[in-house]
Amino acid sequence: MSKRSVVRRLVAGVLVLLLLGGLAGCAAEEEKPAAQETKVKAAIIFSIVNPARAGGWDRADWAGIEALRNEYGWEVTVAEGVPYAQTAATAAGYAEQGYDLVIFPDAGQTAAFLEVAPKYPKTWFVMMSMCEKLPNSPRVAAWSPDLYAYGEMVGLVAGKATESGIIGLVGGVPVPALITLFSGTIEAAKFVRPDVEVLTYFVGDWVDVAKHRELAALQIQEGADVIFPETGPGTLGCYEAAQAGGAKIVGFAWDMYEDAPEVMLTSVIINKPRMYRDLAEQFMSGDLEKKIVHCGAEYFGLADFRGSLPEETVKEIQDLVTKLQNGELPIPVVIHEEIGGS
Amino acid sequence: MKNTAVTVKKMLRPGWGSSATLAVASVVLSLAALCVCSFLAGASPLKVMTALFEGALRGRYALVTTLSEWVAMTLCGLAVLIPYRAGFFNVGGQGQLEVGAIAAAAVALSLTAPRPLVVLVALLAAVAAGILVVSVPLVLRLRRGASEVTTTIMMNFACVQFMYAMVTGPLKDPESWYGTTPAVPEMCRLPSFPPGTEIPVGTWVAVLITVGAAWLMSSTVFGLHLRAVGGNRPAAVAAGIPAERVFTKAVLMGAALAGLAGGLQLLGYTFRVAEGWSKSWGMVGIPIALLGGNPLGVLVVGLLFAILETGSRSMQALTGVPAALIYLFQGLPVLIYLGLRASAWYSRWARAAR
Amino acid sequence: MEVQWWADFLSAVLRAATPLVFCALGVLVCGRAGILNIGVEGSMLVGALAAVLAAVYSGDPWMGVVGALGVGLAAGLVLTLLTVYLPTDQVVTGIAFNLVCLGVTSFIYKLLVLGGVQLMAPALRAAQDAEGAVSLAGLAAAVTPLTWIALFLVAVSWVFLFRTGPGLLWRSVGESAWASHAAGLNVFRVRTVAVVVGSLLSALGGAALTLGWVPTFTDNMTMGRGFIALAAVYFGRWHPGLALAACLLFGAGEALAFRAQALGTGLNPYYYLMLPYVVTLMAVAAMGRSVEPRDTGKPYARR
Repeated sequence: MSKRSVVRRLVAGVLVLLLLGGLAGCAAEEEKPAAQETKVKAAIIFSIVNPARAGGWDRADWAGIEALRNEYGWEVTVAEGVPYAQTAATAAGYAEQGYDLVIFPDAGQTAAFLEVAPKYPKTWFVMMSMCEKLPNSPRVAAWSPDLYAYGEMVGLVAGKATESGIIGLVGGVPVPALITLFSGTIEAAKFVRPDVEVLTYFVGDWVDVAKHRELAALQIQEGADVIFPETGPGTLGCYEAAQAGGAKIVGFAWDMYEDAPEVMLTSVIINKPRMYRDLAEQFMSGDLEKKIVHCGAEYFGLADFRGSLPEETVKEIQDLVTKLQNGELPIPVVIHEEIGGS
Repeated sequence: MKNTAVTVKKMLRPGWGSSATLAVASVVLSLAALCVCSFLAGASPLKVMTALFEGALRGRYALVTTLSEWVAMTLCGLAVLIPYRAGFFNVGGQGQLEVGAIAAAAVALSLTAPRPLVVLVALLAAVAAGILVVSVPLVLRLRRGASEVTTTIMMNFACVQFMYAMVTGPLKDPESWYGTTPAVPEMCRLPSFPPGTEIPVGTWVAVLITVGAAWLMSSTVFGLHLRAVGGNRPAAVAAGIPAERVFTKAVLMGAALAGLAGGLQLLGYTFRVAEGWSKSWGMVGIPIALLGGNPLGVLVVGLLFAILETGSRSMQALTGVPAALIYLFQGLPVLIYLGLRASAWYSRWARAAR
Repeated sequence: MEVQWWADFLSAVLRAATPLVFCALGVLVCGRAGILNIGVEGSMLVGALAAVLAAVYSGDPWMGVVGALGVGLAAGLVLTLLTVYLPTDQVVTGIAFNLVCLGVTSFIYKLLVLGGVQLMAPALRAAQDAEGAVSLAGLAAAVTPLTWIALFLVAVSWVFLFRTGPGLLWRSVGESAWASHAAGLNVFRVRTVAVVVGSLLSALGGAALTLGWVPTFTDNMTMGRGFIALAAVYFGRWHPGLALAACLLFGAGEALAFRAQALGTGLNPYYYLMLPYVVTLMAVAAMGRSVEPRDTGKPYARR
């Protein structure tokens, strides 16, 4: 067998493979024209993998997606593990494939949101996280949770629950949204317990479980007995540190009880399904317009305490939360830029 | 480690007889394994394959992505292949690529000059960075006899951490919410060619370089020397071939291509260097070089790997089969290929074929 | 307070170093018999997943260790077939094996996640927390049993390799497989045992990472720790005791990186994480290859 004929065969073999793939693709495409016309096609892009089981934020989004699928019959395509640097390209891909909406669940994707939306004015781009400025395009919207108010709610719970008077906050990366959130927590904790000390550490990433564990363990060693982790898949490390060190966790964004039943004090829930339902209702009735919806404390709530605290403390906390939602708590708004480090 | 290089080199000898057949067989077997896994995951193998290839080849966006991936994979494959021929196993393509991209980003973000000049200087910086990174393992090999396998692996990790330090430190985009450089300005991004088609100009660069490398290795004195040095170094030295110079040239050439891949990807595809900005292009270069066997083979295998990489996203989206399965595909054909090649069954068969 | 800080720090160093010690031993015993165990990262990763799964389903962390050993055995047999019996190139095989392991573990984990499996495993706990680690006895109780097993295995492998007859033969296979063969040794058998033991140790490293530290699994959770162990072996001149010292040094680097922010040094933590690789390269520059077993990485075929 001569060398050249072998190379030729190799090339031919691969080409045939590709061709088969392509043909199969075309064939599959031709089968299904009619059924899909009425279905809304949406795509959502996650930066992490396994959003259904990830730290609270993405899990709350996942619940929202389930609502879109089950209650509104939308066809939702999920991209997972898309690095921030590739978000814009991925979103552009969906826009070109004719998706009706592209959803960004994560404020880290803001740059991509601003960059890609103006290029595809026919596609709706929706940010489901903190948003201050909309891209220059007619079809863009954002449901922006008031993270300061959310942080306040966490602060109320943590401030009331801590016995040592020391609270640990573990963040992924010191992004502005997180600084805002933690600032709310610090102020609200001080509001309910003036002598409270709040330790804030940033891990430097959202995923390394071991690093998260070490930083949370450090806080526990420094006396923290309530930890609030606001980070990604690495959160599991914080639960483990709490379990080993006998501290309690305030769950982030979704009811995180089943992830670590022994240490979960409660969770402060962001009602993301409600945000997604708002979106679906408005989109289907044609009322969706270019706007930022500011979601205040009425979009947040507490998960069941499941006996983690005495009845009267729970009652107290719930009263405070109700007051917060009614705007009756005079907690000052102070942004603690210094916690982000230099 | 010399023997590593010798065995590997044997497999990569130009026109490696029927090992091309083996490469195709191992790829096909791996695709079959992929089908089995998708079946296990509860998806129809046919649908998975369809989604995989359709996601990579259907539509403008998918094609452009595939071509961009192809650029990096081909160049990184060559970055392994060329030094191999001289007896140097360059596992360090990833580090060379990362630092190359950082260097290109530093130039593109700071230099104000006409577009062609900025692009040229940035790419040259990327090439220089790749060479700089490989010089540590190269010098350790030449002067201290240290195995390049471990030293290039060490360099990879050091370079990735260095890249992280840069994108969260001196080169960080102050506006950004994660560790990343600012996007390179519109004016110094690579154009598409032919204009209006969106085909990244890097594709042509990669193809030209591959053809050039094939020519260099098969039809020039350098290629002849390269084969001699990689094949039997003492004999080559005895024949008066400047072995060390040929060896050094091959290694630097490989690293330069890996660095160039970093620069091209930055200016033509990702526009930012960031946490998680690159796929493991540099690492995947190893299986590609091994299965490809020669520059043109690298081009073909690189395309296949690029298709799988791009298609894996739509595979996951449409069929629910995890995209991570693609890592399996990057390793499995190599194991099958090596296993088949070393097996007694194969040597009998090859002897009969001759 | 000062003493307490050191106690915390030391227990953190031991936590970070334990997985490295197992993996370093896994590389070392293989290398001493002439097999360069690049697949250590992959074996560690499958070991980590197996440990978590077995512990979750049985409810007992020690069953997790058993699970890791079982999978380590399987990985060892695969690697033996490829690198000893066929034999293929050890480096390429190792790299490809790592990719396959990454694909397989992420795939299985994803399927489990979709199936709604909860992956917080019961952990192997220290007898007490670092609060009491201000004395040596306190420190001893503040680490998990796996740390002690790791230290014990370091001693065992040192005694075996350098103080026993079979250990001498073992090392001779790594120095020169042909000479050993000529002297009547069964090189295949020695290398088979070495690769299997190496994989078992690497898988234990995965179990130490999960059950002994963070009892859960995430994609690619070893994050190159197997290669840090490889570096430690080179840095430790292929000697169990020195490799242990190197692992402790690298563990300290990692623990310092965690604490960099709390300490307020202002130095980017990524520079700490670069440390193991940079010092290893410097050590290699200083020592050259003189200490590496001469036949490590070379396939041996009876022909």
